[in-house]
This record gives sequence, structure tokens and C-alpha cells, in this order.
Amino acid sequence: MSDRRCIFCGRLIELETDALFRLPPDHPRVKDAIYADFQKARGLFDIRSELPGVCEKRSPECAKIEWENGKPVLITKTGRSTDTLICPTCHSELFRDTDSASVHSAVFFGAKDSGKTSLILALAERCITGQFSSDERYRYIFNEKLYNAGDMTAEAEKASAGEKPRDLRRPAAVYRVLRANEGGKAFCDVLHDVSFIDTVDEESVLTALPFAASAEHFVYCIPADTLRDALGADNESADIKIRKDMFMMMSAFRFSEKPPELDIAVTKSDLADSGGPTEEQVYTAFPSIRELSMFFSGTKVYPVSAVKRDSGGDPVGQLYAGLFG
Amino acid sequence: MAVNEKDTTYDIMCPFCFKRYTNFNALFVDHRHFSDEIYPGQAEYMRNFLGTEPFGGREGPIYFRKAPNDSTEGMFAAATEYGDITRTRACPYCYNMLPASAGRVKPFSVAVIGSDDAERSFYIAAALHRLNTSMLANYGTSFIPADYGTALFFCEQYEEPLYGEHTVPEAMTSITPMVFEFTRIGAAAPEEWKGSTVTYNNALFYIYNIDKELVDRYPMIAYTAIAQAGALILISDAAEQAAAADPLYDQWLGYLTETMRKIFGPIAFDRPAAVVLSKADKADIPDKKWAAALRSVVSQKLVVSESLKKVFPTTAFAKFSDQTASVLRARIPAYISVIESLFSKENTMFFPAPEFFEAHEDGTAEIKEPAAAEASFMWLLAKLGLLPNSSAVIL
Repeated sequence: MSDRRCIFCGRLIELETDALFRLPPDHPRVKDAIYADFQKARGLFDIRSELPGVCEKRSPECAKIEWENGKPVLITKTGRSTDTLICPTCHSELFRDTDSASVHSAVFFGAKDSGKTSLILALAERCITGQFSSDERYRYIFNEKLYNAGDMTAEAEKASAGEKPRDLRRPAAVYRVLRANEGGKAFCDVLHDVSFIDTVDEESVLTALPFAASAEHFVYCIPADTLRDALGADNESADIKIRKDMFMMMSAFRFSEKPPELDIAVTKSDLADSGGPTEEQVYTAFPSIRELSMFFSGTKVYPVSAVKRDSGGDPVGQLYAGLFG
Repeated sequence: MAVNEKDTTYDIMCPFCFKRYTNFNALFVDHRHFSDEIYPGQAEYMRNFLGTEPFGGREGPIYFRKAPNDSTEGMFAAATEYGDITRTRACPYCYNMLPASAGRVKPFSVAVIGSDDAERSFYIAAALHRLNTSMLANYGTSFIPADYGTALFFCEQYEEPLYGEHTVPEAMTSITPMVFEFTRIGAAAPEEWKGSTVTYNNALFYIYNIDKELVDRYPMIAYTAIAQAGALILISDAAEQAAAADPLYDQWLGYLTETMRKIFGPIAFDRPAAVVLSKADKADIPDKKWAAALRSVVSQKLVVSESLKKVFPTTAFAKFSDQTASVLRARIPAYISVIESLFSKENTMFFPAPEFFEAHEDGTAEIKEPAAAEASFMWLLAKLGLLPNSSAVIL
């Protein structure tokens, strides 16, 4: 538990040596250029960049660092204490239960209008309101420091009604905790939407998607109508486009030691013909997926839809279970 | 990480500037932080040779050398100034990014040279597209772009126009190398040197598409690419060669001789060379042997089973090559004498190929027969010790 992963930039921080703290709110506010630059790079221009300063054990303000309940607390020379940890790279907050064994992240990729954001909203909404009743072991708690649960639910409702949702410029995080009497570890499931990120070349992929190298799942969203068109097409255009997207995804983790799993989510499956799309159809329409799947640690296909259905199971819940167990 | 790094690493060869150095000399790149420093070498290379801007006009990342006291995960990772771990590396001379597996696998460079109308780009598109999509089924290996830049470039320059839109690709204006990675899936590491018919399980391929115009425009890179090439693909327009009024004064042959002599002097190119005779079906060579060789190259299966082992049929292709050479000797002696003086006989194979693509008047192009293109590239892979071949001696 002596490490935490920043869910924004993906950096793993050793708390013993690299812990950085945000000073208590009553300290003078200063311009935090690192935080502002990182947020602006993700298109967030309305953030507050005047924040209490940062502090670490070598800073003049620091008197000592104590460990309470397994996490460090910094005591300032004025006797104030802070336990707000921040990432040394991007100065974003480090949340609880994000040690290397607890945090699980999934990156949602796909062409424009392929339903990535709607799918993330549907997953988050099911966590907030539905609690995935099929899995009784866990309670799902939405991290409201990132998004307001009410706003998220409302946005998900709009998306399921067919409206285009707003991009999620911050990751969405859901805590998965066992019921109190069962004890055990809590998990933090992180969902990254990359709709808004401009990934024109390898440099921009590595710069804009630093969190992707440590992601365990890459969810590739293919709309059901694209699949249907590709099955009936007489050229390889759709397959070539898929291959291009796949290479973009692969370049994000090409340098990392552990390859992620590839999850193909056939979105807007409510629009598909009866029976829903099958795994074989995906491989037939896009042979590149089979060819390139060996660079991932595994491949699964899920037909999903942001539209709630009364019958036929909960495909969104099945995707969540497939991603995070 | 391999148990013994010493046995499983190679020297790095930069695909952009051709400098060779060990893994210890490679620079690491910190993409989470940006540098105010300007790297003139890289900017110049990108602007002048590739026709692009470094980082697309954005700020560049920080490049740094691994500190001597940095104990991070061997030679392929380093800790940044900010305590982060990076595995992205760059060339210490030209500052261009290195492929992820540089220094871990054997690098080969392949120069594709050819006359203006010899369907050079069509050849590259056909061969690499086929290898991209068929190597897994045929040999349990993969041959795919090693970086996103190559994937984008190959897709936009070749695949999308030809296989997606059925249009003729635009002429190349930069000498951008394409970096491909050959991987044998599930192979034991380190390399299987004995008890196997292959020498390398993994390799990096730097492919350079070079024509006369690019040689004139970027002589330094073009000449170095040919000089450093581990294998060469020479594409000649068979129809044009056969129809030449006086083959002794053929411009293309003269240019080829001059270029090769400038680089290698009087010594013949002694590495594998595939001589692809494109538009062989359009060549006016009324010889039954020519037609038979052409038919055989196209219809020959690229994978044969020898003692339950999948191998490339090198012996069969050598027979077709000899047939082709004998026809050329009789019909276009000037051509074959130039080829035999520039390339060593034992490492050269002739591949007569029908027209790869047929361009229509309305601007569309129809894919015709890519079998010979694929066969010639696979022969090179076999010759370089990456694919098992039927003429190999099993130790």
C-alpha cells in the first residue's frame, strides 16, 4: 500500500520517497502551472489554477511526515496537517485505493460517433443507480470528486435516449468495495474516454495518452451499423481503417512490458439485426482484429448498447464484469 | 526481461540516420515533460528529408541519457528527472524516435529500387499488404508496422488508395523509411541458433522506397540506404526492357550501373537481391519458357509442407528463376549482363511478375495479381534466416 497510481497521467508514485502534498486550504493560493498545463492539454480551460502550494518532505514548510492508517500525513511548521496527496508529474489529486494492485483501468477507443462516451456513461450510470444487482458481492461507489453523480446519471439518460453526450475530459472512477462484514480490499475502476484527444502521430499518442501504457483493458468501440456495412462491403476499406485505429492503440502501449487485453464492444447493438452481432461476424468483417490480437494478452467481443432493455440480460453489466471482474 | 541480456540484444541501427550504436548509448524520452531546447539535427531531418515538422509544431519532449546510478529495469527503461519511468527511446544523433524493439531484435534494411514505370509503389503495397494479412495463417508469424508512423504512412500512402478506394497512389515525395516488425509468435527466447532452420525469431525491417528522383533529391540517404541494405529488391519494367530499341543504351540500366558502382565500386552486391520483372505478361517475349516461368511463379504455393514442417519453397522458385534467366540471356542479353555484373549470382533470384495493378482511364485501379510480389519478399525473409526454406540444411 506504499504506492499510488495517478488516474490522470498513469504514473505510479512511491509514497515513501516521492509523496507530494497539497497544503491545507487556508494557505496562500499560488498559480500551479503544472496542474494548469496538464488540464489544458486535456481541453479543460475552466479549472481553478490558483491553488494552495505544494509541499514535500524537503520543503521549508514541512516539519515532519507521519503515517496514519497506512498513509502519509504532512505536518507543516505552523502545526497544520494535510493528507491531500498529489501526483508529482501532473499535480492532480491521488485518490485512495489506487495502489498498483487495486487500480484497474480501461481505455475506450474508437472512431468518431462510435458510442464510446455513451458506453462509459452507461457503465457509470449502472454503477450509481443499478449497483449491478447481478453481482451481490460489491457495492459500487462513484468518485464524486471527478463528476457529480446526478449530472452523470442525467447525461447517461440523455445518451440512452439517442442524444450525443458531452466528452468526458476527466476519467470516471468507480470504487468497488466489498460489503463491510466481508472485509477485504477495495478496488478503483477507472474509465478513460479519449474522444477529444488529437492522436495524429506517435508523439501525440505518447504525450496525450500517458495513462494508456498502464491500462489493463483497451475497449475498442465498433458501431453495429459499421459492422453490418463491412460485412456486406466489396472492398477492404473498413478493415484498413480498423487496422489504423488498432495501430494507434498499440503505439500507446508498445513500449510497456505488459500488454493489455483487447475488448471489442459492438456498440449500438440495439440497431443490429435480430440475434445481435456475433464474435465470428466481427472477425469476418475485420480480419485485422484476429491478426493483431496476438499483441494483446487476450481478446473478447461484447455486443452492448446504451439503451436500457427490459429483457435479454444486461450487456453493459456483462462488459463491466468482463473488464473488472 | 531476458535472463541474460548480453545474449539477447543487438546493436541499434537508426532507420533515419543509419548510425549504429549500442543500447547504452540510446537516449530516453520523457513525454510527460516538455523541453525548451531545440534539436536542430532532428528538425532539419524532418523538414528536409521527410517533409514534416518535428512534433507537428508542438513542443518537443525532454531527451536524456540514462544516469549511471539509475537502477531501473536494465537497459530498456530509465527514470526521468521527475522520478517517472520511461521506455521510449530516441537516436542520440538525429533525435528521431526509435522503434520499441530496437536493440532487442536484429535490424535489417531493405532498399526497393526500380525504374519509373516499374510499378514500384504497387509492388510495395501488394507485398506488404499481403504479408500483413497472411503471415499468421501461413507461418504463425506476423509482419506488421513497428510504429504508428509507419502504420499511418503505409495506410494513407498505399493501402487506403489501392485496397480501399481503388485509386492510384500519389507519387512519393519524401524518403520516409517504413519500419516493420517480424515476430514469430510463441518462439522461445533467446534466438534458436541450432536445431532449427531459422536464424532469427524476430527482426526489424527498415524499408526504403527509392527511385531516380528521390536519389537525386536525397542522395545522402538514398546511397546510404542502398549501401547498408541487408537485402535489395530491384524492380524492372519487363515490357520496357524487352521493347528497348538498343538495350545497350538503356537509360535505366545505365543509371542503375552508375549508382551501384558509386556505392560498391567494382564489387558485386553480395547480399540477397530479388530481381522482380514487373509487367512480364505485357512483355513482347514470344518464348514458351517465359510464359511457363510466369505461370509457375504465380501459381506456386508459398507454403509447402516438408516432413510436417511448413517451409518456403525456395528450390521451386530457384528453378523458375533459372528458367527466367535463360530466357533473358537469349532475348535481352544486355539486361542480364548488367544484372549479373552488379549482383552476385548465388544470392540473386529472378521473379517474373504479371502487372500488379491495372490503372483505368477514370483514375481507378484494379488489383490484379500480387502473388509474385509476396513470393519475392518471402524469399528474402527465407534468405535472411527468418522463414524456414526448402533448400536449408537442417543442423
